[in-house]
Amino acid sequence: MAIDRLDAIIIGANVEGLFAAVELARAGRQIAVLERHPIEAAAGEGRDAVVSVAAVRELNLSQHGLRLASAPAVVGVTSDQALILWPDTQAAQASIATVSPHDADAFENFRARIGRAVRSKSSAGMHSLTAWLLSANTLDEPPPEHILFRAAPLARWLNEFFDSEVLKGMLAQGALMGTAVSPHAPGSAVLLARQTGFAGDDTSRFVAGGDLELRRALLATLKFYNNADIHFGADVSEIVAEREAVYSVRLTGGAVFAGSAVISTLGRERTGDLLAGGRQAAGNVLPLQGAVKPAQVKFTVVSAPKLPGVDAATVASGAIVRLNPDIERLTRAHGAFRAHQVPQEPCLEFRVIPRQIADGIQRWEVFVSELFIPAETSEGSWSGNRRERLVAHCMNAVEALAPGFSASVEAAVLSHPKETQTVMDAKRRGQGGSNLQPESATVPLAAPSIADSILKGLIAIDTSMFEPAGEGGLLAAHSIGLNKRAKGQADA
Amino acid sequence: MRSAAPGMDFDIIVIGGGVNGLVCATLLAQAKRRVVVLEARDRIGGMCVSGDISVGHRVSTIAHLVGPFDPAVLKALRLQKHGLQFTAKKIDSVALSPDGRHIVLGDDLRHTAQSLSAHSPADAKAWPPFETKLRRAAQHLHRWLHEPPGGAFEHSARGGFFSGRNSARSASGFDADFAAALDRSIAELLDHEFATPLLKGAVAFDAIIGSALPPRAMGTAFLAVLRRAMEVQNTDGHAHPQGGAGALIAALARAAEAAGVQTKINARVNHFLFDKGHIAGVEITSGEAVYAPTIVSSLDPVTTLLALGAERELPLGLKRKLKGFRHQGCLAKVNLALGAMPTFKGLDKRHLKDRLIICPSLGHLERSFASYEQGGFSSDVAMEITIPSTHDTTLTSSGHHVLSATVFYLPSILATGSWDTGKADLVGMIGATLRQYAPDLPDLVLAADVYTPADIDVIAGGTGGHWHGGDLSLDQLGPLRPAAGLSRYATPVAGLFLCGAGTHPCGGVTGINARLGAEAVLAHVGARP
Amino acid sequence: MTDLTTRAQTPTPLHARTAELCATNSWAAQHGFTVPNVYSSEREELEALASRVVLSDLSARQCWTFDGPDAGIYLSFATITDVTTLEPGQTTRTLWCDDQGNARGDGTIVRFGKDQFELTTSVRDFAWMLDGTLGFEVKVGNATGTRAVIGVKGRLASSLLSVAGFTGAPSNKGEVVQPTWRPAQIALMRDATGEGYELWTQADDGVVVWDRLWRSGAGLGVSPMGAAALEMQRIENASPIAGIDWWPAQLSPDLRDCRSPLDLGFTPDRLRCFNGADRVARAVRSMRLVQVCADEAMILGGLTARGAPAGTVTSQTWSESRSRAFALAWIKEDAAKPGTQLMTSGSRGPVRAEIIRDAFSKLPGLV
Repeated sequence: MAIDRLDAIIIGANVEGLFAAVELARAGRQIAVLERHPIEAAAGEGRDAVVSVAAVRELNLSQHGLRLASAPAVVGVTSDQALILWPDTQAAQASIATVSPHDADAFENFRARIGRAVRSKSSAGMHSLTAWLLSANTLDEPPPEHILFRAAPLARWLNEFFDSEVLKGMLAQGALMGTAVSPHAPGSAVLLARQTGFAGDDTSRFVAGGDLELRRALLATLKFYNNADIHFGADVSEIVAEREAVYSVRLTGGAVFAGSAVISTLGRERTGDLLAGGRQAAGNVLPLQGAVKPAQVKFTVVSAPKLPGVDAATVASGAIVRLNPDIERLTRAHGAFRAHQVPQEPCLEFRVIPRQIADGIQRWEVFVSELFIPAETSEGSWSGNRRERLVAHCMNAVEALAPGFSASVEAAVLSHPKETQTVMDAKRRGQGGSNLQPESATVPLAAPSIADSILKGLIAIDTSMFEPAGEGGLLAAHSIGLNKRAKGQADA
Repeated sequence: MRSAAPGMDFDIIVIGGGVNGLVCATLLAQAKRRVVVLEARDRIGGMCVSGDISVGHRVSTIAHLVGPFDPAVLKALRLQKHGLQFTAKKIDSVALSPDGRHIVLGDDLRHTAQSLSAHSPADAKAWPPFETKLRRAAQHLHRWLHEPPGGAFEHSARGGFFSGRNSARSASGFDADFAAALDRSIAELLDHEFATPLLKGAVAFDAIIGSALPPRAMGTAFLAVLRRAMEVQNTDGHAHPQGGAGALIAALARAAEAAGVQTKINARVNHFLFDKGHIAGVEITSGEAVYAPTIVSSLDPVTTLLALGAERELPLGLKRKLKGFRHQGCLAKVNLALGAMPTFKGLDKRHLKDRLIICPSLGHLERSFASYEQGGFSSDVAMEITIPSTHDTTLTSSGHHVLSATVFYLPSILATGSWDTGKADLVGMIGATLRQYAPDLPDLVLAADVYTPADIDVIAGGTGGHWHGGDLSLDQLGPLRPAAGLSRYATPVAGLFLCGAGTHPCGGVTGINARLGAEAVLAHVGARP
Repeated sequence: MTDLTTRAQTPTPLHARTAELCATNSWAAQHGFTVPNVYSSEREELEALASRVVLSDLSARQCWTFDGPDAGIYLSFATITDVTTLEPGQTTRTLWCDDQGNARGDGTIVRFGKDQFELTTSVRDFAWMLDGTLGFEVKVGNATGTRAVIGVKGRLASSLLSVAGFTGAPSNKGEVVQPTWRPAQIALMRDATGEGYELWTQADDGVVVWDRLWRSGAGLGVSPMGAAALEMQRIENASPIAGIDWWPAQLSPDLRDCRSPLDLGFTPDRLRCFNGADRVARAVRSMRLVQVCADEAMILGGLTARGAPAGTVTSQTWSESRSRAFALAWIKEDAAKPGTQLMTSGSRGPVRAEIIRDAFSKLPGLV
């Protein structure tokens, strides 16, 4: 194998690793991706994948087979109300009008204002709000659109436009899904722009074929860069940090790769295990923080959930259904999360995806996502019977609004945000979509000592954490720094 | 005898007889206007009032430290002449540690560093440059703090109340990178520099206290500088008036009277009176009308503009925007009458006059906020304690003491149960907490008074009871306080002005809001009557 | 995965009749409703309008009711018109602004009684109107969809109304007549152009009234006119529409694209206080909406005058009957005089166009 020093070595050809690889390859870096499994193995469970529209565009993934699903409808359900935000604005307004004619008209204004604020934000750059507050020397005009967007809590924005608690709750939940932020946190208003499937103005979308299709598209994209190599069946046995910015990655077969930077998608613990010097050195690993993947339970069911007041076809075809959405409920749940507890009132949403008919039975997969589940609770970590309890907790919440659900469940798989969640350092480029400037994750921080000794160029990320998919990889790629002179050229 | 304009009883009505109302009224009267203060309750003072916990034990019921005062206000009002005396000035803060390794947070950087060295030599070394950086930034804020957002009123530029003793550079000299850092949370700022949990907990507590913001909220780093900027303006810092906060009000009342201000109590304003779209006066509880062409309200801006009949004169879009101004109080007050001085483990006697902070770490503050978010409270309450009887002998008989504590992050309404039963739990929890620091304290308690945020609201006159008149979050500061377009104390209603804590810069007993409100009025009606 | 886009299929109260008549089955989505786009062909429909009489379904509009002692006062503050001077039975065109004096919407106010007003508009701004009422004794209701509005236009329009028994048709643009006619309650008024009529009735009665008109009009050759023909006609008449020819401030993608009432043809009454008045007073008119005409169809896009960019075309149509293309365009104030020659683009290249007139007629009832 090449002993010439690469710019970056990426361990793990999963979605995060591949995003990092494509981004670095695009910037002309010489990189290698090391994947343990042989090429035939499918890495990915056939789960939903959400990607940032901007990232797809920049990395040109649609050219290589990535299809974005059209925005799904978003349904808000309580015991006595069902509100459907269709992707089509007029249809959404018609639905909202059944609950509140006031809010139906305010809806379009709300979206227009967010659109203006987002555009104003990107053209203004990330100037400091404090600096603006201190130097605003003309008060004749209203403040620039993006100021309030970046300073205010999202609850304030929602209250300013809408009366319906269900509508506000739906929009708040969509904004907060995948974050550790409270609806009353200053600065959380920017999250309103990131709603998946938010009628028309979405910045992230579902991938039509799920995570498998996403990975295939990434691999196909990567193939086009001659400055990127991908090695299957390459099992890493050791990472040696020779000195700052000089690493060698040793494979079990004996081969060695040398690089100035390593991005490991194996997670902090496993990376620490591989690092020569063991766990001690693990404390020096530059950690990354991204969004918090919500806890997700995948139920396999033999009949799609039936919600009174919502057309079965709508539910069965992938609409996002939010149960009992309410801002104050989200606030209380966030309080529990902040205290490392599981919220008593779950803040849930689910999507139903039909699967192929097998044994003559049509099955569906119901992906239930729960917001604000702490990675580690005051009672201990997620294992064994605590996991079962979470699954039951999700199931019961759905049953309460869709009677008959529990009876239809054949199997349930829990995937959970793992423990490593660490402090962010990387300077973000000002992208729309996943701006996490508001309140950083409060729970559960890894040891604060990270701030001090950092090994430059070694980044460990936990792939289960990021939403939209690829955010971790992109962050990692940027942390390494793309400022150097481009070396190779892209073929595509 | 000055007389008001024909048909008018007064030139100016000031609504609210709290500190801001009284200061504003006095300054306007000194500018030769005929002014009346209308107070809804049966006593003036608002949040500044002294009361008895039990017979022979007097304390500042709610606000327990006053200042740092706007020096121009002090100069104009000459409160010392009117009987105001401080028994303690430039009160330092001490972050209490259960094991006695307390950290002194005061003017003297070396003293702080010294107390820090017992925790972490690295932190002791890092403190002076950090604090110096914050104080230097605070100097930059000086001008911003004392001028209305957008720059001084024309009138005062020619020599109004602003003392002009402006040693600070203008706010535009602010370091851009540092300004960006101030957008972030106080927790991040502290985590970046220090390791000692107690230090971080206390500094964060000080920055945020009063606002319903957790330590990781955006913009809380700015609050640390804002607090220091307040202290920069007046070297007397936080002080205790002899007799408690009520004594301050008494002095203010005398100053007001001396200037010719009239005061009416039990005169709650029901609604405004208008004449062709211009303010013409108010109707008060008795049904009586009081006429004046100019009204300054020290009530919170939301009540002033949306609940007293001024709504019709407002631009339509402002009404809903203004409702988003968050001014729900989240502090409680607990006052204890003690039979003897409690022993705080390891605390030097000279610090008993200081402001004692119980907030062991950022995590503690986080957990406290988490309970608040859920609509309850837990044992992780954070507190600021003073024992004013150490230096003010008028409060209680010899040997006895009074302890005055503000307790942080308590919800106004509990999610389960009510405060009627909750108060007892709260006192119990506070007792248990205090026991960790002063084991003998709970047994010394003779009587206890608890004021929940809802109680404080009532005492302050029913306008939210927020320590600062409104959360100090970035969307509610400076040009956005209380809303864009309302930040220069004038309102869209002709003749109606604001001067309370819900205006620039923030709350506290400082008089700045009142002075700027008065300047706004004079800029409008003319310097001379 | 199935495509979940679902159109709002809200039919108007006249749907039963219009659907039957819509031979081409071509529909348009208009302000939340579905209306026939073309019944037979635009040409035929416009011809019928010119020579005989046509009925059109104008129910696709927002309709807000204002009831209460402060109804007139509120509307007079919320909009730029003083409606307290309207007598019951009078109407006026109106416009309302945000706090910064940018236009949010325009429409028509009808005073039905001392404390009873209705505002109809194409702009969905009910939330704003409702939120502004804090402090006023007025109840605002959303009656959208509860009114059936039938447009009667054409050379024989007044004859049709007489034959149908709706006597006492208003002669004056600002007048509303409520002819007693069983079983339905009807309000009859001139439409915004002043040339045709509108009959308003409750949704349930819409079909009954339509039938009456249709039967009565059989002898006059009545036929229906769809949204497409209406659109062509309005451009020919230089009647601008919010959302197409100008951005309501709340929806504008860029704050610089907002319009002041001045731009929309309004001369402010300096003595009146209405929402945004102080900003309006300071506004300077920089652009003017005009009608231009050309020999070839124009496309929506930029216009130049003497080589320099001068404005934008916002609506356009080709008139078969007059063999001319008409368009509405925003032109810089200094290049906006009638007769000015401009260059714009057509499908095959540059097109020369000429300014004919201002697009906004003076709003009645205003200074």
